[in-house]
Amino acid sequence: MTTHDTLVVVPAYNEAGAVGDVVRDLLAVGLDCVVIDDGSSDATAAVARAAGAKVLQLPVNLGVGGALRCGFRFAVDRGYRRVVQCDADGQHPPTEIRRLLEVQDSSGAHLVIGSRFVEGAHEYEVGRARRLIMRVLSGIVRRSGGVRINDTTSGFRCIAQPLLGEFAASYPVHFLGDTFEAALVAARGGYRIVETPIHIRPRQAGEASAKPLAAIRFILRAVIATTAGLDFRIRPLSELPQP
Amino acid sequence: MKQELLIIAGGVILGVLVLAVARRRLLTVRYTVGWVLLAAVVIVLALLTPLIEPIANWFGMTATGVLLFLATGTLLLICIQLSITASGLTAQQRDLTEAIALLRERIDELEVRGPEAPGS
Repeated sequence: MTTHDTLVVVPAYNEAGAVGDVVRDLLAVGLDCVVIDDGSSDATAAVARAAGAKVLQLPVNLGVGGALRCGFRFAVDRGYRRVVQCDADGQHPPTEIRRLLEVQDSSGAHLVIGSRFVEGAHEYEVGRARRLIMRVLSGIVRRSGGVRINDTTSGFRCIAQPLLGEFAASYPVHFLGDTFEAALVAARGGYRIVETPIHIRPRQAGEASAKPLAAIRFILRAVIATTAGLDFRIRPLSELPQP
Repeated sequence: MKQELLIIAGGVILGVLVLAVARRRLLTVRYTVGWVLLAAVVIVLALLTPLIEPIANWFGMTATGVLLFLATGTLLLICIQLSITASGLTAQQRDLTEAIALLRERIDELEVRGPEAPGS
């Protein structure tokens, strides 16, 4: 399996403690990777560079969505066919990236979502409130996008052309925008989406960016989410120029 | 009559304040013009209060009520306009930030590669 058509994009915000190992793991299995330092105040960029990664350094913090779009643009510029987005905190082991890529190869899907809930995935403990919200989000994607996705907020996904090009042009930064809304907009645009079970590891270092208070914003955003596509649009698959 | 004088005074203060801020180059012409126009409108409306009176009464309002209504509406529109501007600026800032990161990486790459024949 060729992997030099694949770029692993690692958005990192103050992850100096973990990003080095993540990069070394990726390079060890022969994956190209780029770390997007999202305006970190620690040594994230230096650590990632020392580990051998290409680093894109955002001068100010844009949020995960901004970091990802920057990574997508880089991937498109350099002619990569697909991108795997992967957390910098070590939750997503390279073996699971292989699995995402295999699923993309065999299915030809434009978006492969690594799911923590699908049967076969490792136990992923979440609170009851969060679980309920996840179910609501799944329901919205199923009804409005016509695709069954259990783990709409998973940040572990593979995005292939031509969807990659569309996301490079336009990708939301707001809360849930880069996960749930991106999946919903892709589904509505007629892009093929596949979900596959993955195992995630506990965080190796750093702090989760989702604070308890975020649960409230989560619910608010989930309500607003029905307006998805209001300020974030991509061209539907059927309207893309044929290659 | 006292009320009209107060409103006129308010309009004059607004105009002077805006011009003073603009002189210190804290406001661009684009925004200065808008605010000065607004100050002018406030003064003109205050002078026209006797004319507004019958129209206001027809709507079951006092002239003061109409002026207050117009003022609130105008401020609302200005706020929306500023939100639109801020949204545009945010999007631009994001584009520029990403472009800077991409260019910086490109420079690093070129520096590592060292001096080479141009175009190679």
